[in-house]
Amino acid sequence: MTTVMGGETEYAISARDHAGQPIPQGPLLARFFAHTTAALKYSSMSSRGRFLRNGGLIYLDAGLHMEWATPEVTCPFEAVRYLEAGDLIVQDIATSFAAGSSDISEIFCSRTNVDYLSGTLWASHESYMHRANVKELPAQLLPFLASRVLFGAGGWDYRAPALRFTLSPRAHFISRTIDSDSQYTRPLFHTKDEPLSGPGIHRLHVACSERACSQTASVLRFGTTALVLALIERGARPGSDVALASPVWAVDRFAAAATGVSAPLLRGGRTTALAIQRHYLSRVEDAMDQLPFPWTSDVCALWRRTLDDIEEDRPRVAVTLDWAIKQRLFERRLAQRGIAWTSLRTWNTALDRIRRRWLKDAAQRPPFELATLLNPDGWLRTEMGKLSRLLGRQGLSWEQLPALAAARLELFELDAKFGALGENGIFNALDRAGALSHRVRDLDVADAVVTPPQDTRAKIRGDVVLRLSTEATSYGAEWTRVYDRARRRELDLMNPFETDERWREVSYLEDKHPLLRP
Amino acid sequence: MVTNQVEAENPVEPDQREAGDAFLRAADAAIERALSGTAEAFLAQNRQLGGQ
Repeated sequence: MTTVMGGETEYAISARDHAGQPIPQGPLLARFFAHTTAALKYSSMSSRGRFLRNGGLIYLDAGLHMEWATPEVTCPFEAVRYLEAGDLIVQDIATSFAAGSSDISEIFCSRTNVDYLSGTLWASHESYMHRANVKELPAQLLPFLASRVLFGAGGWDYRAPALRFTLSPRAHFISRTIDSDSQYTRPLFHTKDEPLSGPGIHRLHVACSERACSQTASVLRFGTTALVLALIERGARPGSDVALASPVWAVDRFAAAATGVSAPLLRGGRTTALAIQRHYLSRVEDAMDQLPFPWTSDVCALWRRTLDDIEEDRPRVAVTLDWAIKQRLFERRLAQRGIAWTSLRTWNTALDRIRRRWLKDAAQRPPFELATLLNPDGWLRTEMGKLSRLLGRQGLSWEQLPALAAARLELFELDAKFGALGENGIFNALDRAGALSHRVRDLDVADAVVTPPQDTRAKIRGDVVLRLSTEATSYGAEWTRVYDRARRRELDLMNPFETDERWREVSYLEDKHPLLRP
Repeated sequence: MVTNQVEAENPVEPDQREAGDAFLRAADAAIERALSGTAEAFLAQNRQLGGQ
């Protein structure tokens, strides 16, 4: 029994020149992608980007970000291995790009990132092949997806006027329960179903999470979702018992803390993210004989252990899951700046009250920013004065605001650099120092950079890319086919488990075919 | 005093304390290395022009 899955990472890439000025992102990314095309020794053009010898795709997406899509894999551990391969590939390209660009003094690449100043973020999507009834999926998956924030990347709630920690930054961008768009409305359940395979096969596209650095978190993200989807495929309805009254409200609440927060159920009563996850885990464990993937028991064991660790607040969580590692890091930095973690709630309350009054006169005032309070006009001074007692009860005062404002920007910077590629990334540095315990297996990521998965059509795609890129022939690749202009033939890869390289002549291929331009 | 009481009631095992200290040392080093000293400039550079 097999299933197919894959992941995508959007990378934040920026650079400074020798005067310390940011290089405009649009032209920078265009140059970066042009360098990518030239630097990759074994790759094929596609309508979107370049397919590589490992069967994956690197491209410059419409949202002006570099993106890596893994080849198709059958195992969550492999999904993580190929996601990390993408990190190595992008890091290598960034290094050679910067070295060969005389105007660049420093380049920055990150695999998990929020632009707090703009209130937007880079995404990480997942795809799962399935044959479930697509109309049933939202109801059965929504509680699971809302509670999956327990494995989130952690960070800050971009909406908070001061600082509000979150298990999952993306949770606060989710504005719709179900939608076909993922760029502007950001739904909890994405209805996109571009199967990229034969009839009767669907593709679940999950766009409600962010990329985590922790292998444990990433394996759980893919493994638990694949298991739950397989359960639904076999006729189970695990979501019915834990249907949420408002999934969008719930995911926002659940992301506030791993324990101690609840959301209303549709049938009455309340539930927690942990309870929902345990419910799905139990349903999966009860049906393990119907889910005989080679990795089912490993993922279930990891799932149960992680939920137990979270519920009992075991020390292991703080060195395993991104959000817990970040919380320790951020708490540490705030303490170094003389700011208590527990004071953030009061700061948010005070600033939120001012913001609400500020917005009442939005037509006359610019958007509210914390920095505005550092040089308050008369109106602001009056409003701030009204809240002095609130602050004072917690030992705080407005005189501390400049320090908070400076710390806030620093913490946004730390969050961005947590997932930075290369040795300067904070997560990578902690890992290298032996301070973390996130690894799930000895994953040969270096091999995944050059070798495709052996049990899906990605193997053929990767092998063909390697072979044809060294021949004097122009060709193009897509997920479901490869075109060879010189020989006027096409390789059919509609079957995700295709094992035979079967070419067919296609007379319709013309010299002007967009995929076949030299 | 409160801290001592808490620690007395919830003693930290030596290996846990050591692991905790190791994390903090690594975290301090990583933070020191990561911070540019010009956070606002870095954040202005790190903009997402069209995210998903």
